[in-house]
Amino acid sequence: MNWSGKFRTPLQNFTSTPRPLDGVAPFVWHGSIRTPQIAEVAAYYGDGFFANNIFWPKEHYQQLIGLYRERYEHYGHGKADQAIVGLGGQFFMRKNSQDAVKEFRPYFDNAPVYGHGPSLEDFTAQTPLTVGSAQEVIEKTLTFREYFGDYQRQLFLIDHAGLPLKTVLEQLDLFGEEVLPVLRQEYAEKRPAHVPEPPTHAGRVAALLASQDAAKATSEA
Amino acid sequence: MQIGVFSVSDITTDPTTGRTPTENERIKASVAIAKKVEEIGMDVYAIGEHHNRPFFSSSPTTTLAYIAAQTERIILSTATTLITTNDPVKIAEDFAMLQHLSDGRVDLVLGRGNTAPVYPWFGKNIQDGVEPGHRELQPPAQAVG
Repeated sequence: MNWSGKFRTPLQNFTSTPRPLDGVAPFVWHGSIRTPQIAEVAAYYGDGFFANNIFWPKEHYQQLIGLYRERYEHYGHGKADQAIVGLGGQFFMRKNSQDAVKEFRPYFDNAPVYGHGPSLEDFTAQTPLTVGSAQEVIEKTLTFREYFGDYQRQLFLIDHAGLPLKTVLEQLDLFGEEVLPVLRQEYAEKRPAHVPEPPTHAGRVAALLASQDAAKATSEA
Repeated sequence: MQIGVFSVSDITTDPTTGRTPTENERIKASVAIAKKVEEIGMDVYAIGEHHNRPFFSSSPTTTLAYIAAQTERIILSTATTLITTNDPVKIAEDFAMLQHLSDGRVDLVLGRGNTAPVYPWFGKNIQDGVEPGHRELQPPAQAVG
């Protein structure tokens, strides 16, 4: 390829090495906390949009994700509800809700990102953070698709604020036992058929082969 | 639906014990967490990129390649890869390498990065942060695609 522009030296007769596996580049998401231009870029290229969904109330991310979905449709990649959306989220859970609150409070109160500010109660009421039982994590996580539409990827922040590794691994064990199976079932039942599956390498290779077959059929017709 | 974990890679003192983990402990912990993600049946492990304290993850593809070698199923991703301060050609090549080594179990999240001092360390200006997120996309998108 050849390229020239403002932010790096020009490229002449450049081919990146190695070539992408099976001729398909890794899927690209664009992550944004607050910048509408990033939603525009993601929509323009038909890439995914990932909202970290940690610090602010849902209305903030509804605006960004809404803009991305609207522009995704505008650029002709599909319907707005077929755009590829990923969300963050965070939780701290124990079998008993009160135990979770008691154990997590000192980590919350001293965390570099939100410590020494709002109370744990205010923050959990106003943002995606859940501190409580597995059932509470399930309930709050399932509200995300109601606020932002059916989406493709849900990631949780769990290893932060000085939490020991042992505690983080316990969180994951509990998640795997009590939360993951319920979320899988709920998402499978609630996702409409026209909403795309999450991007995978296998899926993207299949799409490439299908488009090549279609092009071949057209040229032979 | 893909369900997983993302880490911002902070090194923070445990307020209940007053103990601060070493960089080495946190780096090894990220690998242990990623392996646990696979073990419990989640789908994705993603890690951020930072070039300043109190974070450790400056080189996500190195970490993710090490994790790829010890897992079989999960997708390895980033949260985020800094499109503003990295050379887009280097991003394209690093992720193509990781894609081959992991048999396709990789994608990436591009982000601007909001830590002002990092920009001049890489010869960039934060004022350009919104525009290059768009403009510099074009080389890797074409170079990889």
